[in-house]
Amino acid sequence: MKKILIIDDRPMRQENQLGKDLYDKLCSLDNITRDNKLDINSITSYDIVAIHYSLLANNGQIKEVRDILSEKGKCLILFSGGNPTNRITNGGREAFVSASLFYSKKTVDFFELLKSDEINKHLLERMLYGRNWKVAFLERYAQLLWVNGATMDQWPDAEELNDDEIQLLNDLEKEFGRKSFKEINEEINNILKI
Amino acid sequence: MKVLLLHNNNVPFSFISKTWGADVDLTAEIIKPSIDDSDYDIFVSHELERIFSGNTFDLIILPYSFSEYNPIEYTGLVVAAHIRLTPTWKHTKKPILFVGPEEVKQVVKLSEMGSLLFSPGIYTTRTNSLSNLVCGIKDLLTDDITDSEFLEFLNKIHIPRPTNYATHHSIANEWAVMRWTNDIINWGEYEIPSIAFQTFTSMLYFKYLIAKDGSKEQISKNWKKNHGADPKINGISGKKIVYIDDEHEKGWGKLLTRIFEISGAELYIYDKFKEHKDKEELIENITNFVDSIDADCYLLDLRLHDDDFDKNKGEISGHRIAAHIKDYKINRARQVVIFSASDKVWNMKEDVQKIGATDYVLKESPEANFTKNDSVRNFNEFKIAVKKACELSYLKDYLNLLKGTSYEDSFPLNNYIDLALLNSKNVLNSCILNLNLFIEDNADKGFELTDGIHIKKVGSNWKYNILNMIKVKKDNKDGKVLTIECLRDNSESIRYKKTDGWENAKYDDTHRNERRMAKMVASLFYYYGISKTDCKKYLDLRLERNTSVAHEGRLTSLRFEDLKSFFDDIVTKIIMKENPNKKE
Repeated sequence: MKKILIIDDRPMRQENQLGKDLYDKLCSLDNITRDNKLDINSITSYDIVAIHYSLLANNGQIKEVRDILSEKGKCLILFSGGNPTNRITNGGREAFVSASLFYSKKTVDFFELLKSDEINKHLLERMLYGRNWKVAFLERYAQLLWVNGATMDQWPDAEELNDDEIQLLNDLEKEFGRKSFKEINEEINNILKI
Repeated sequence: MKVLLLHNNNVPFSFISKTWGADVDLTAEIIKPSIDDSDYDIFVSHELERIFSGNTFDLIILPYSFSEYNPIEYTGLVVAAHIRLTPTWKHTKKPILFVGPEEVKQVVKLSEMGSLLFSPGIYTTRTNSLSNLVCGIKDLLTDDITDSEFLEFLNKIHIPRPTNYATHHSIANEWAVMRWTNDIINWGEYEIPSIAFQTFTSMLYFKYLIAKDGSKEQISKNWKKNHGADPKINGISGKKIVYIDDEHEKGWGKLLTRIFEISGAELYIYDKFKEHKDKEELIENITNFVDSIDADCYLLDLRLHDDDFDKNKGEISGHRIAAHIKDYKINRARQVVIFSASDKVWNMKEDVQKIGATDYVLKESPEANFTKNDSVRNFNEFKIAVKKACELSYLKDYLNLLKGTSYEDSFPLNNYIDLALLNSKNVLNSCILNLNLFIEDNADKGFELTDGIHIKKVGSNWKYNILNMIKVKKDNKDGKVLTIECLRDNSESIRYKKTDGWENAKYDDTHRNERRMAKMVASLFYYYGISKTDCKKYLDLRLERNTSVAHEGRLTSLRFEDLKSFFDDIVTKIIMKENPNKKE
């Protein structure tokens, strides 16, 4: 079971944005702890720590929280009402998301899924993109090939890749199999049903 | 041909490193937010401001995403939309080419902003060959998109609203404050309030609203000078205004401070919203603040707490605070002006009635589609509402004056105040009747002069002839009093015989009304120390009551200002005389 800590200094908006039923569901999930204040000593006990961005920005603790969680390989979600651009940063360990996405059915359902031990990787992608989460990696795979000169049926010349890219390519191939640019494209279209 | 290539090292190396040919002048710029750039719009606006400053490009090339890690966050679409929607960069109509391995249908499926790819002047290619790219772009470099194509783009594009602006209320707050400050107030010689609009003006959604707004109205450069609104609110100098609005930090606080400073009034802003997260605690703190300032006008937003946006969370904070301000036990004449964002005018009208507010002013919203003339009208309505509240605030002082005196429950005075609060010409006649009634009830009394002469009232009769003490000269034409002579030491006119005592005093009984009038004036002048000029006001009021108001059924020609002057100069003195411990 993945444990999640949600810290929001405006807790009343949880119910306002989720609506009563979803809010009740969020409260009933035993893998979720909700608080309105940050206790920095407790955050490493959780797999995902979600914090209202303004709270951290106001008390100047972003770097400290980020460093602690990065060191332990934990995920940090910063949610904000002012920012509509959902992004994953810090090598996939941190997400910056809108409050409307964070307090949504999609996210609550995802947190419910984390009660089982089946999901251990790519947590933030799964939260953001749901069943399409693999597309994020397949597009990355396609991008890596495209940037390095691959055509539809040809792989790039290995000499074109630097060490980081080779490592990334190996990781992607290990997870998704060795695929050509064309095959990746087909798989993405299959996932997206287009 | 000048080409701008925006990238984050996520395009083929050849695009950046090799020359594109003799006729292509390439500028390559990296778009890479740091981990601390929390607001992508601000980051992009800042970066592109730098890149476009002093530069003109014929074509802009960029990938679908600038992320090193996540290619499906599609920040390239965000950047392209910024370019289209920021006129100051002067590239709103330039062709834009997306490069990348993505198929357009994939992007459209995953991005809310995918419709951008189908708008005029937007091109896509999946080629990763520089030579193919260079060949292809020559066909793209035709002309900029036309005005009608730009409108087509505006109609096609979908820009998601930030969550904080999910309600009409939030967006209107920033929109209106900027509209008033920058667009429609002609500051002239006054210093423009320094409001940092960066967060708002950098916001893609705001740029979109501005573009939509600008597309329906062409404004000349001198418009503000010729048609803008004067920031000064005349007639409120020395007045105190309390402002309660959880959005005050979005520029309203600074803008209103400046407007009231220019107008000679003082503004008191409640600024403890962040310290009181709990609704009940917040309301209690605001009501304490409200009671700590004897303000002439309470400028009140209605939705002051998150719970106020949920219909199931009870009465909204603003209604409860207004109810406190207008509390009968405290002072029902305190003036509330609702200053709020709402897309439902009828709701606001209901609020005004429910609260007993003086007036309401809507913060304009982009959806209202106001022209600049509409916005000027909106600002002028704000000025009129505040001025009206300040003008009526004297009634609050009257209630304060009555409080704790023998007149606190005076029927005619309370009636007069309640009627005057309605601020309608239709109640002026009733106001006159009530003020007259008060004088008749209170000035018709016996008293002792300083030289020991007693004027005594026995039943309905006066045991002393005071008629000869008062001489009144009237205009023969309309019966108005021209002069009053109040005699003091004319022993002949005072037919008082010390030996006879009170019982022998006589009075002329031939002119009943004159006699009654003389008795009132005698009380006002001799007992309450009211000047002859002010006694004349009473006689004029009495004449008005006896003619047009009571018998002729005409609307009086007197104004609220006349009645206020009557209250200040006569009623107040009576109250003070009878309640010597009361401080005016």
